[in-house]
Amino acid sequence: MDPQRSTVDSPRRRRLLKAAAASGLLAAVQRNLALAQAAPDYRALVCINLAGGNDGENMLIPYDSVGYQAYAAVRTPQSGINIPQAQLQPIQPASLATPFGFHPACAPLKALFDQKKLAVVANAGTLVQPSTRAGLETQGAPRPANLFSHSDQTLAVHSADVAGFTRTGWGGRIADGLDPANGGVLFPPLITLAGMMTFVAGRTSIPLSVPSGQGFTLHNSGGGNPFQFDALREAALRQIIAQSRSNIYEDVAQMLGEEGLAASSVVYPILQNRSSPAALFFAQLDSDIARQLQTAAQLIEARAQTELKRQVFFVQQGSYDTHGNQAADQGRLLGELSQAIQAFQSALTALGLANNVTTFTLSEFGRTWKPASNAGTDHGWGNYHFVIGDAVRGGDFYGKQPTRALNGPDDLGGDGRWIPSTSIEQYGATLARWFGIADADLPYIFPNLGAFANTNLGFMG
Amino acid sequence: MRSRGQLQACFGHMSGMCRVALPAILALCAIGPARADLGTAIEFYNPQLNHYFITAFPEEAAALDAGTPIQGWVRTGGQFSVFTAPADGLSPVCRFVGTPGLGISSHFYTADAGECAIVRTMPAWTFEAIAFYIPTPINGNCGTNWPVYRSYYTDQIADANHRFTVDLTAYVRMTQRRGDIPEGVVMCAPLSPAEIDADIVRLGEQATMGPTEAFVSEVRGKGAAAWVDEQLQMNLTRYTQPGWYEPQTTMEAMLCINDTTPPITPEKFCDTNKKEPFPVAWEFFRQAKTAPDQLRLRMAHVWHQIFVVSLLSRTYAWAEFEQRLRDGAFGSFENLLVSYALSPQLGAFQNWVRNIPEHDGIRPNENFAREVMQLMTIGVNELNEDGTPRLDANGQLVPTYGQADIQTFARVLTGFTFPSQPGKPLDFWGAQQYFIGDMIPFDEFHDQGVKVALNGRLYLGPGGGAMADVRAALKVLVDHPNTPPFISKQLIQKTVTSSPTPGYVARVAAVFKDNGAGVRGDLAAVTRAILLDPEARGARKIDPEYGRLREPVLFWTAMIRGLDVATDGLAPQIMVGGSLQELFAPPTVFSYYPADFTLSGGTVPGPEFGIFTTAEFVNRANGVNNLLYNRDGPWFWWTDAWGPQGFVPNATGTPSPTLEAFMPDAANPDVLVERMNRLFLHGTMKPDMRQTIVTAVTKLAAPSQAQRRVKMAVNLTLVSADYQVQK
Repeated sequence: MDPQRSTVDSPRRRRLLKAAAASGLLAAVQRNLALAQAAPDYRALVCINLAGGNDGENMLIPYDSVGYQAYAAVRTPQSGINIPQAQLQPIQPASLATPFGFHPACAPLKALFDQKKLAVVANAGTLVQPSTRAGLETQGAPRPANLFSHSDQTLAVHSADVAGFTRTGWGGRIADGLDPANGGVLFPPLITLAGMMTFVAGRTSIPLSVPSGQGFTLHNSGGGNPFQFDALREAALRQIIAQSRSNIYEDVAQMLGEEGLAASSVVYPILQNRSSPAALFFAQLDSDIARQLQTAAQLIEARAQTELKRQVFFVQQGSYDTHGNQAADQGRLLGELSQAIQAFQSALTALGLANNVTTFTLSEFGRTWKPASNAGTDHGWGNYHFVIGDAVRGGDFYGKQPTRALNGPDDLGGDGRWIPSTSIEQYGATLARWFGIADADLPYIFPNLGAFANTNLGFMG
Repeated sequence: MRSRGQLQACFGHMSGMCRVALPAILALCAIGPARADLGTAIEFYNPQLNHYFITAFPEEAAALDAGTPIQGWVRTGGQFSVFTAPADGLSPVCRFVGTPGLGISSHFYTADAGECAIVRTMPAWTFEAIAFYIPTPINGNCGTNWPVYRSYYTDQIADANHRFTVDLTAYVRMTQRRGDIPEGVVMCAPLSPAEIDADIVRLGEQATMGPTEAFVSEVRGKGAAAWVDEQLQMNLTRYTQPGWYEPQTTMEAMLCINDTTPPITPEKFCDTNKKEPFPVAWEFFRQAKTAPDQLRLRMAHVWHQIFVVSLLSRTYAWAEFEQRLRDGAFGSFENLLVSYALSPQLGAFQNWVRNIPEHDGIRPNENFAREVMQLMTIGVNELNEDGTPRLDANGQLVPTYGQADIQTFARVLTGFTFPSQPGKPLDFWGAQQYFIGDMIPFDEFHDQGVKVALNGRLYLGPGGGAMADVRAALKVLVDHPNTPPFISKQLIQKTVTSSPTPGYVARVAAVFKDNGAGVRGDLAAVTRAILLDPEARGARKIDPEYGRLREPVLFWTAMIRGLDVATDGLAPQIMVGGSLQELFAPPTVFSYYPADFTLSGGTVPGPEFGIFTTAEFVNRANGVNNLLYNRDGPWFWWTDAWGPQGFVPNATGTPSPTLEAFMPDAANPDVLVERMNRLFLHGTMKPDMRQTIVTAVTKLAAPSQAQRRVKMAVNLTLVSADYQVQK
């Protein structure tokens, strides 16, 4: 025995590296057995996090004259955030009596709504339990910790834990249980294109972090000949990381790095595929959210390489924290978002997977219905969320709309922060069921689900 | 007049390698006297033989490296300085080899003249040479020189081998690794200027927010002990305390509605980012860069991870809470524990504020009662003084407390409420919470009964006052025999090494028990003992199970300091959040990562690996890349941190460092990479890594790509596992 050599057993390292060498097909000893229990079809969930708190009340606006007048009476033209009625993209939700209008930049989303491929979930947000204004204001009913705080509410929405003590996300907890469905394939089922946000952190699973756009491991340096520079540095980095080290901590750090790079070696050729049909749908778009969704589309397109049957993707767009200059900022973001979603859906349709992939939005909170100074809005609470895909029962609104009145029954505080009527758990559980999660497994993912009676909002077919 | 660049090219003193290659630069060096009489005894290991070997003859070392004529020997990384010529006070070291056919296949060294004479008469041993010259210990003491330890291995048949090492950790572990018998200090190695500097860099990694070339110069003059003692006297850096904003309405008080009317000033504490902990975190990184009381900042950061509070808002009080940890870092452990326990931040976080005696079937909340024992004082199992678990007669772990003890402590922790808001009356059940100042005791809301716990260690009679009872109970925990090893081990793990030897823990725990003047829990003395222990000090540590993975916060502060990065604190705060160490918001009372996390599910402690995922290596590589190139590609709101942002006070962003200190060496890859080696790896860069980096740097044309060369060298060094692990 060499006292100087560390003795870290790394079967995972051996497996992954060997597998990466074998043309990207990841092999596990029990794989053949496990494949027998694998899911028969392919399904993916794509989470779009609208970071900063999207102002849903300017994304969907009452279009009937009474509703719009009420809107314009509060969100006046003078406030700077008013959207004129003539610019709205009207839709008629199947179960509502009156129409609504999408923000003008959301024309592609109106199209999807009309094709019944987009569903709207109204007034969803973080809740400890079903809540009323009286309960919250005067009866000391429990509320999520640190409402209106970006970090706390982002954490709450991502972790489905309003007490703020959990640092795993419900996306990660979904991934924790995907091993059987994926037939024991080693490739991580959860991919984030927007960094290590709480949503993707699992208890037992480790997400794969893929930067969107060209290249994998290292970001561009910019200027000069960045690709050659990157290749040179990456080659040197890979060489160093493969050099043997006797310090046990160095050895483990290298092993983890090599695993990350090994997984990326499967992903990198996928992203470099210039003849990817899916990528073509994004050719005219150059926003960040488009790049992320393009990457997700290419990874879904190449799912045969990873042999995964169940995948979760996380992308993010922001900042939606429009305290000022909302008209321009939110308008730009909604335009980029809508076009990116449209391209994504078209790509999925071309791949024959539009029925197999469901995209949904999250945002840490809505915003005050009452405008704030500087042509903006402040942090709110309940918000619209959107679900897109052919498996969605689209063309309709789900959940209960708030009474849009300052100091009304659903307003906490008087500035139009809507007390949600649907919780994040109810929203997520509906998605998780479609994804194939058994009812018995839902409490692991949504520990507080039991506080709510209706755990299937019905927007999935 | 020598340029700063030229002087810094002489950072440390040139090793033999550089001396051979660069006599011109050597001529510029005015730092330290030339030590032409110093050589290096280099250690080799042969896995086939399971033997160690040292040589101070450069040609012999080169031949072993080349494998000609003898194969099978590899460098261990171990080495120490020796003298190559006789002089007063030095002993010649006799080198023998086993006589072929007669003796064992091994070498033997001795600095003892008598021993040398005797062995010379033995036919089984052949005298080869005087290996080198070296001082010997006086009564086991080496003074300012470094002890060389010898351990002896034999299979009792025909095989024997000695190991000589200056690494106390490696020496101690030879017993378990090869079955060696420890033989004590046999020689005293001098310290070359390069070795002195290397140890100073290591001290910087352990005791500051990151070493800098200026730090090395400063400590070089006074020595580690004097620097530590100076630092223990300093308390200069304070967090900015924001003002108190009086909410104008009841609803505002409840909601803390933001006042976003510009200009957004610190006085509007309900401003968006005043509800978040971010401003304090930004200040943390700015202060890490420039504060002179580095050791206090470093230790406060350690205490933040033991005395945990994780609330994501109430910034107006967050700075006050963190300041408690800074102020108490070098005082008494008991005072720091009490300061923590009485903080309203802790009271709310661990649910003991407004805890009251049992009523209506509801018992007092047990959260803090449990955690203060489990995580902050005695731990769950009884420990020996060296931190190893005590086992009972059946070989089982012995729990330190049970549920009944928790319930009793919960009864002690009753009767405290929030301080009153400025200008408001004090009311135990007041609607408004205030988080600055200690919690206030109300005896009428305190459990007045008898409280007995921990096998009678805690005994509180009836009618005790709330404050007296709480202080007495905390003192019981401080006085518990478990606390010195439990706390000492964690402090060592967070500064020096994740896997300290029992001996190291015992030495520090002994100081915790009694600082030499009969005082228990003297954190200044404990801190000093940790940093000046021989297992902490030394030019290079070669035991495979030594060191610690840099946690994201210290990874970034070290870069900010080592690369002279100007920052307003936003970028590093965002980066560490992306690395799962969101500063000041650990996920639970168990801190950012579990203190007992082990590698690969095994038994080797590696707490920081708890948040080092497969993606984290790449994540850090990208972070370094972003720092060096301020990537202007895809824009995420939360990673768009490199430029100045409107919501950051006095925003300057974190532009790429100029690296001007290293630019003069861009023309010469060897010198440039050696600078990286000195400052970031304290001289331990492996030859294969050096070659890879030099080759890569050389591929970039000079001088047009001079800055790229420097960035390449910095990038590859900082991203390596060798740098990620502080040792």
